Amino acid sequence: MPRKPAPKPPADANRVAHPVYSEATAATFRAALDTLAAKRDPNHAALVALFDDGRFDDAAAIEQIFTGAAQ
Amino acid sequence: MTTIRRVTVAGIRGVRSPVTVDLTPHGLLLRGDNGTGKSSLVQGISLALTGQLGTPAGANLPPEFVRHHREKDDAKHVVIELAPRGRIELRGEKVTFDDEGHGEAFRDAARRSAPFLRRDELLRVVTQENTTRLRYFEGFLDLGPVERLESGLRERRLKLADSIRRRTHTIEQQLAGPARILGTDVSSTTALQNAVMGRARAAGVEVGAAPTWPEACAALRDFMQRGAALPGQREELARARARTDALVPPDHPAKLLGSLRAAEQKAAEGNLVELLEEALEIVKEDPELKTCPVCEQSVGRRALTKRLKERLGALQEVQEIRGRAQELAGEWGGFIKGLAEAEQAAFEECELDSVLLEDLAARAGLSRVMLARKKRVLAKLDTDLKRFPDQAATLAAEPLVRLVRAMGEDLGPLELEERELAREEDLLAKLHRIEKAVADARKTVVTRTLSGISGLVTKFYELIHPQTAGDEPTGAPQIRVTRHGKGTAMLLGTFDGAEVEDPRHVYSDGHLDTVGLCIFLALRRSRADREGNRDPKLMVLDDVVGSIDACHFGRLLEVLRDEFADHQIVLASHNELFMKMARMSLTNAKAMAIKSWSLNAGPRVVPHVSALDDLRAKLANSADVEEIARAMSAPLEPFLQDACHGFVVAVPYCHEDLTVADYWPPLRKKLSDLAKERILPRLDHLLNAIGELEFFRNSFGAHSNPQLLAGAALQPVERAATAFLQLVEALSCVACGAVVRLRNRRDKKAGLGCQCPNGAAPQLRCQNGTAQGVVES
Repeated sequence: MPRKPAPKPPADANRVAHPVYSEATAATFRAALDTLAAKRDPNHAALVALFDDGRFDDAAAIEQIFTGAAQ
Repeated sequence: MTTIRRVTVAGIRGVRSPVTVDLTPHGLLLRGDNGTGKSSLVQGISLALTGQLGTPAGANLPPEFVRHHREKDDAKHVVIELAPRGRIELRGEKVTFDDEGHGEAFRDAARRSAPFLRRDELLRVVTQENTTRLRYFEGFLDLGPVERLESGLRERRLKLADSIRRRTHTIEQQLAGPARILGTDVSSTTALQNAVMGRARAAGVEVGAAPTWPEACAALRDFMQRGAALPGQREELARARARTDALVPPDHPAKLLGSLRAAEQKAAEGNLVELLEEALEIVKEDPELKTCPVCEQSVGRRALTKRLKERLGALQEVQEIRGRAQELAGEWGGFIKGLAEAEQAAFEECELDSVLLEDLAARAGLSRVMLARKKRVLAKLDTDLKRFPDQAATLAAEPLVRLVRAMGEDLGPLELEERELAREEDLLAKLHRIEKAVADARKTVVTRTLSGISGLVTKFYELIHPQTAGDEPTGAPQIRVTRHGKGTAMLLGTFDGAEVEDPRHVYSDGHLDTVGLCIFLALRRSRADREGNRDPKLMVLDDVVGSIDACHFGRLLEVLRDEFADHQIVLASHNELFMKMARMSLTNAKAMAIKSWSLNAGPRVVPHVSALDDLRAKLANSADVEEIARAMSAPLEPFLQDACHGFVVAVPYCHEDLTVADYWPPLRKKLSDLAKERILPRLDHLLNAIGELEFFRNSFGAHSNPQLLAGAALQPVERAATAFLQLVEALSCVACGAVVRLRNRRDKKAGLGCQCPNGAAPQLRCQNGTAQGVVES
């Protein structure tokens, strides 16, 4: 008798919770970053770093990246 | 997981003196009558955890009322002690925490999880506009950082747009003058330079291929200076022509030199000079000489003298020609030198006229070298003459010079302004791009999340209002989210199998309250699942079953028990039956009751004991007559009211509130009839033991009569109270604790029902028709 395949884990089973943002907020920011990555935004890497640091909600920090003032 | 262990509230609304309530990890069941301070305690917790009181500000209220009933800033004091450790203390407007940060972390998590639900919020979600409802839902998704980012981006975008407007206005103002001069639109310094260069080239100004603005200005300036010097230059040329004409000798030196050479040759062939000198010597020495000393021919003196004079005349002519030739050579030398200087001047200043030079060449018969030099001079002169502005070109270039004078030769500030403008426009585009990406992502996430939450709403609603009951035409609601514009969240209902766009049209108030409750529960469950351990799993429901009947709030409690076992649940209600059933469902939650409230002391919180339990305790402790009678009066009327409703007892109409005297006689008869029909156990012995309840009520209850009380004996009262307790137990379901009821109001054969999940299988303590067990127990 063929063995019943194991149920597939949910798509986000391996998702790592963001240390700062709630799940919905992190999902929103990730989706926005994915959109920017698809448009080959040159600042994408810096924005991702900002997200990882939990400062993606800081519009001033994003502006600094765009103006090249961010380190 | 961190939970609330103890709450102390003071100075919040109706709570003046500190009131302390303990909670278990599973929660708190707080029962109290209206106006006794339940909501004040709950809002104290809310204020300490979220900073929001949820009540309108107390404007225009009497000072005394404010002092006792409503919060005063300096009087507010809430202490929340956490388990296993942690502390949050609110004093006035200041919140402090324990040193280890547990309290702060818990408060932050609680604030973001939106765990509070009040009765006035139940209908809000139903009655809101679709757009507002979506915002309301998003409030539960903890999108604060997203809103902060959107707000920040919007603020910066508006600021940038304002700055761009100002810079654009400044640039347009500065370019308006040049545009008027040029007679065309000029939007930037680049366009201005291109326009000026084009006009300058058209006017004949040599501005190069890609000149800078200062280079173009210099070329224009030089062009105009040369144009201004044009009349003087022409006069200078005329004078130069005259001077050069004066330099040209009247005869051609080559002709004179040819004559000179022929005369000299003629003289040389005849040794003329020597002969003449010798002949003249001979003639001087011999005046009688008849023969020519030169040719030895016989000649007279007169002829000889004539011939000698002719020879001497020829000699003088040669000498004159030679002197003249020497003079001409000197003059021509000066001419050649002047011509060289003129050429040099032509080379250097390019001011000689080609006609003049050609004239010079024709007259002077210049050498080939000189002609070559002349041609080069002419070519250079032609070039310079073509480059030289005529009057029309000068007129065409004049506006450009005015433009340059108006703009100045330094476009740096304007170009800097334009660079800043370009930088800001680029930044604005980037901010707008990320703002749009975030807005789209937010819509996507909210749509996806709310779709999942809609499923939970449907699930919870169907658990509370199961369709199997058969008398539920209203179906589960759904949340439908659209992404157009700012997005909307439509709330759809179901009635008799058909979709209803606005549930308010067909749902009862109780159903609508349940819809609001289910939406809150779904949002709470969804967030708790999504956030895992970061969610405090706290839920505070303040008086949310006001419009919900016992059958449905019984199922609600099962939903709380089964679906929210991981939550610490705080329930506050005045409904005795609800709290009784809550105690049976949420067995691990602490049950407390507010027994009384006074203006100065506020609420008095004691462990919650149901009225029946209180009566049992009084009987067990052999209390006096008055205590037993008062304890019996509390559950008496609610029970009679509930039983009359459950057994479809026709109660006479009364324009005032119904009393025991209105309920008891018809209920007693109905219970006897149902026992005879074997629908209920036989209860005659209990009914007889209770006797006339109206007598007890008038003697010991709300209308206590000291004279009747003085004449009452303890034993009959105890017997009546015991029989009453047994009657309640006999008519209550062991499983759910609710009083049983006829399942069908018109068909007695349908049997009994109760508040159990299936609503149709009451578990009576005694079997149908045999109540002895009840009596004996």
